[in-house]
Amino acid sequence: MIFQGRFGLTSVAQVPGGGALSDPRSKRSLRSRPTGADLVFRNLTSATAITVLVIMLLVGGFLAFRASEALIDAKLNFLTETQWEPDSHKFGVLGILVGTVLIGLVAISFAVPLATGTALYISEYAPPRLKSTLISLVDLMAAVPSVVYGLWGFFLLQNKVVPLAQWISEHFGWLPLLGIDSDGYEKGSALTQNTVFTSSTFIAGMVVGFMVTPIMCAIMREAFSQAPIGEREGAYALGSTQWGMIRSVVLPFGKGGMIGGSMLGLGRALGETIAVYMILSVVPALQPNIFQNGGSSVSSLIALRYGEAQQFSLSALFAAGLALFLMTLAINFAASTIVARSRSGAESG
Amino acid sequence: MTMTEEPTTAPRTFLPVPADQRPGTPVPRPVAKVKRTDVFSLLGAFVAAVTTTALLVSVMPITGPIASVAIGYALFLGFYAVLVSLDDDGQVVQARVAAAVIHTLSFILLSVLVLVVSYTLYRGFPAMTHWNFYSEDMQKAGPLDPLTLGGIKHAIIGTLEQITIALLITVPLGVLCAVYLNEFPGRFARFTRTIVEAMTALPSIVAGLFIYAVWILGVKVTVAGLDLQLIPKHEKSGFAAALAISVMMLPIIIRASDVVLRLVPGHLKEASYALGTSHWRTIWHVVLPTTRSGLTTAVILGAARGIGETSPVLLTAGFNNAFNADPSKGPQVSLPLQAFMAVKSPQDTMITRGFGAAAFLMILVLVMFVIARALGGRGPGQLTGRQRRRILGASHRDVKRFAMRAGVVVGAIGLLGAVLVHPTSKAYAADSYVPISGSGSTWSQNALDQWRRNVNQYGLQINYQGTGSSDGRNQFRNGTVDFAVSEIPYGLTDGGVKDVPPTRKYAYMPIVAGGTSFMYNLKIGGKRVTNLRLSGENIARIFTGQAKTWNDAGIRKDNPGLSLPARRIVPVVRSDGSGTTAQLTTWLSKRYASFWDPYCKKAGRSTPCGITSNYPVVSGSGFTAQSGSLGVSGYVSQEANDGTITYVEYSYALNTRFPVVKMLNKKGYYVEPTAQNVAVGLLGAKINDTPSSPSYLTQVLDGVYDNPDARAYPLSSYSYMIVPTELSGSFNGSKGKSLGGFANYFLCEGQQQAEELGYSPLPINLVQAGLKQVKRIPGVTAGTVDIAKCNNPTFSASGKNLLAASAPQPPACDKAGPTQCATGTGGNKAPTATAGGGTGTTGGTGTTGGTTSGPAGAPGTGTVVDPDTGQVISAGGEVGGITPVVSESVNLQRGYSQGMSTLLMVLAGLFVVGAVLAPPLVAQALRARSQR
Repeated sequence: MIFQGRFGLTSVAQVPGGGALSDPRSKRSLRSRPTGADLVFRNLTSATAITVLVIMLLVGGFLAFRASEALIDAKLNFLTETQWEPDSHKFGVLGILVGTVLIGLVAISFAVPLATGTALYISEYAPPRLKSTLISLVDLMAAVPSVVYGLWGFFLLQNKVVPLAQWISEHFGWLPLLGIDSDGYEKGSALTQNTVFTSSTFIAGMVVGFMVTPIMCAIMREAFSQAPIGEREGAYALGSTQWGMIRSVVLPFGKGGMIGGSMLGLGRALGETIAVYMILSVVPALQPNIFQNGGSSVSSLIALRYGEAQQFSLSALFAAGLALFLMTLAINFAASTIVARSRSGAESG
Repeated sequence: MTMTEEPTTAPRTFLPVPADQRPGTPVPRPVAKVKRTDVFSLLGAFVAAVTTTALLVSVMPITGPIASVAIGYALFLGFYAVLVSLDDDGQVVQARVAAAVIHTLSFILLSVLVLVVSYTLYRGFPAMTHWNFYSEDMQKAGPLDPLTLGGIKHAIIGTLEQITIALLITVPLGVLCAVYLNEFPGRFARFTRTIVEAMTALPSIVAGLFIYAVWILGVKVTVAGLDLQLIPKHEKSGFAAALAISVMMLPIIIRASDVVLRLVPGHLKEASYALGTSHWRTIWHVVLPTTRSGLTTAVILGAARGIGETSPVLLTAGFNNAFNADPSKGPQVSLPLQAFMAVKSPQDTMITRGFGAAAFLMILVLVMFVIARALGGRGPGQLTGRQRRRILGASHRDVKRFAMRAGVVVGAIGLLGAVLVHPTSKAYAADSYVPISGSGSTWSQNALDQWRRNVNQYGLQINYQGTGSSDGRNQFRNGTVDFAVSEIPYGLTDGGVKDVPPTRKYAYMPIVAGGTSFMYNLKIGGKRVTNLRLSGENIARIFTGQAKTWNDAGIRKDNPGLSLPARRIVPVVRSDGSGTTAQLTTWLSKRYASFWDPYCKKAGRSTPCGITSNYPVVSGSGFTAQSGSLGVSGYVSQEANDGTITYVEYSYALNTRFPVVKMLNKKGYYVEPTAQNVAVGLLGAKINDTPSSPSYLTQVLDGVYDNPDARAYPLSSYSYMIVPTELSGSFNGSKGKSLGGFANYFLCEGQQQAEELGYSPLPINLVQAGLKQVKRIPGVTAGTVDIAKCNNPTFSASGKNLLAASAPQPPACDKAGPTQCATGTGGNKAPTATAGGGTGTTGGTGTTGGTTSGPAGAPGTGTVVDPDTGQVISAGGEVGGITPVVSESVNLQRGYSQGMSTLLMVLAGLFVVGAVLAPPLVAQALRARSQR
């Protein structure tokens, strides 16, 4: 694929160990002796790799070390407690993790259809000369800073989405997660305020969803475009429509990419801070209603509380950060395994 | 691959053709053909859907554009399916509908992109058209100043410097590490790769938290009873932010580079080895040139990601309004952080500035992105014609040379060294004062910000970040700020935990008085209510979730002149640790424990709850939590948030032009927290007057709550600055000098403006005591402040508090009873029509105050009018007003530093571009030289 070498075909200047070639029967050593410069190079790069590794392990180790104080104090309650009052030694991640996951779920329920549709459009439907522009545009969308998405979500999207949120929760409020459990809220009452529906998990999740869509889209598009030509043509030859071909060739082939991409996007959505912090009214408690004002996420809780946290509360925040990290870590590893397994061909393995 | 062997005498090189450009490569063929009937059915379905939707919307109760679009789209799909099925079979119908859905989805995504970009530009445009937006900082501009004043220069330099430092750390580490991973595969490389991959999952806020805990708070280890300070404490700075960005970016860059390097075809390297080239030479001449564009793209995309991150910077960079080109010292804000902070403000101009900063950041990222595309968009190995010819030529020349190039390595290392020794020099003009930074209360932030701007003319640079009193006290204890501002002292027990005092010596100094007011957004019949009155009990009931609707019987009783709606009350409370919350909860716990303790218990706190800085919120109780005074007042002031009420300092209501609650005092009058009423109220405060006590000058407010004066506002209090009285950490004598200068200013002259800003000036005893405290700050310049020249409105020859003594008595309509004044309050002086509550008498008595509205409470403008009497209390010329005299020398210095800073900024910008582009360009140049 890539050929840019300057040593493509040059005259052979010297062959190390060339003498061995003269006697084809004797076994020559395949091991080349590194030169002094090679040793320097090797040591330099290894030193860098070790430095990087040490930094990474330090970050992880320090995170675990600082979290340990709070974890030892809270024991298993850390996983079951919904409140966040580290000063009263009554704290746990259940509430905020549920909040984080809800934001992530809302995000991917917006992002997955959008990303799949766009990826399919780019790889299957778009006119060939538009393709690279579209790819660039989607990548560009991934580069827009999260604070810009946050601004957009808070100032523009929020007011437009509130009626939709209200409509859904009024008609489908009997479903779990979609209702409103706010004191004094009456369904369909003309006096229902906007405030019941603003700053909600749903709006935060929606903005985060738009933010992670391009990441998912890029991975899915790559997976789709690798669907083999032969099978595509085979499908057409059997009289399939374009959609039929996509369903029977492209989608099965790109399934791993779709799942992996969605999970990578989910991992990113869970860790997103600033857009969530701008929109959500942070209430560190178990609040499962996505349309209702107030929610929580680990990262926005850290952003809110780090400054005033004393030794122990900071340790509790580290524990929350560790929990979030482990969650995104698990998701990312699962995702990259799925993506890697789904790829055919050795070049990317 | 296609390497023909030609037995020629002159060696020749053939550039292989990339796989997708080779003839005969199968490319998916386009199958979409548009027939005329397809277009007709699409159009037909569209028209039918639009008309049907219009019909439905007019008949059914459908609200909002989103709902009608959704219905319309569903109808469109249905009609389209029907139309297609007239001609074709089920398979085709399915295909057509699927195609329509896929087109729609990608259209939505692209329109989101367009919306995000254009909305940001549109909102930021008014700020971005002024040149001063790029050439000035926010040192002199207040939130109410027009867009022709102030800009984001300080944030631009912050962003540029931080990303440069981050790149200098991450690029060498990242690329070399990626080379290692590829060139020396083995167990260790695999392990490292796994760890790096794991670290890409690290949420950016956790990276920030890590640097915050390690670099800013310092690491202290106790080994065998000995305290070892492994890493000393540092103040928040641009460098700390760069470190946090680096931690976040490093795994991203390594992974991206790793992927790029992996794409180098093995046979290229094999060919090089076959020619007897040593390992590092192969890397240098084959691997790196092949991947140059790919690596550059990886680095630029990593940088774009790092530049736009807010959360790590939020924790580590601090916040400043003044230009600070030195990343190693003092807070240094960056563009995303500046945007984030500015839009929290309720003022439109500040929001516009925030959008402007965001738009500028976005443009910066887009430019980087376009450069990355231009460099690496073709993917590794895809070359332009020119590059092809050049490489071919180079390849021909390659044949002719074979010389030792040890010099290259030496040169490269030298360059790296030169780059690493980044000039974090003090090129900035030395001032007679060094900048100092503080953080804490948002309650008194409006006053501090005004003072901060005023002392700027004396060359004093004060950075103040309103992060909440709890945060301020904590930062001061940790030694990361030079001073803190808090409403409450150290040592109080909150939620069972004692707020331990810092180990370094400190003193409290009162800075200003004010009233914790209740700002609300309530409309009756579409008209804003501006004269709401509430008793203490009803306020307590509202903020403990007892009174749920505005037409609650108790609230109705307070407001006989208003026909209150059945609207829900939405109490908006602070989500961060706040001194305002502490003031409110002190009052609640002391006066209304019967409401407060059960509420606290419901929120999971232990009772008796007592004072707390973190307002407990019961999930699902209809409360809303926002951070900072700006957050809560901004939330309440949103037009749509009808029914909200919050507690903030009076000045926030003035700035947002919203009314505040008139609160019932002991004497039975409903009073507003004007400067005079606060001054009267505070006559009841008990001040700790034992100079040897650690809490010298702190307040006990029970006497204020129950002040029997008819004019007293019950929730009046003082705000305090916590200043160090010994040198420690980064606090040195020259900082003490700056702090002393600032304190002398605001204790004396600054108090004149308190009233205008929505605060109340300090009485003479506290000013005197405060000035004595200033003298305890080490490094402060000796020199007495002539207290007679302060023009403090509370001072009088007799020593009595003149402001309190001259406070007008409340009008009769403000007395608890059947009448209610119509006059507006706070920042909204428009009168509200009242109806006689049961007795038939109209409210509003004879005073003229309602109609002669003041300057709508805008601080900094002319006169201040008492809202109840219409009397002019103070004329701007005499008392208020900033003396706009700027001495010539200061001017000159400013001019110099401005030119200097612009130059620095241009340099920093070039440096970023350089840091990105230099490695590939230098490598290329070196190679070209060695070829000669």
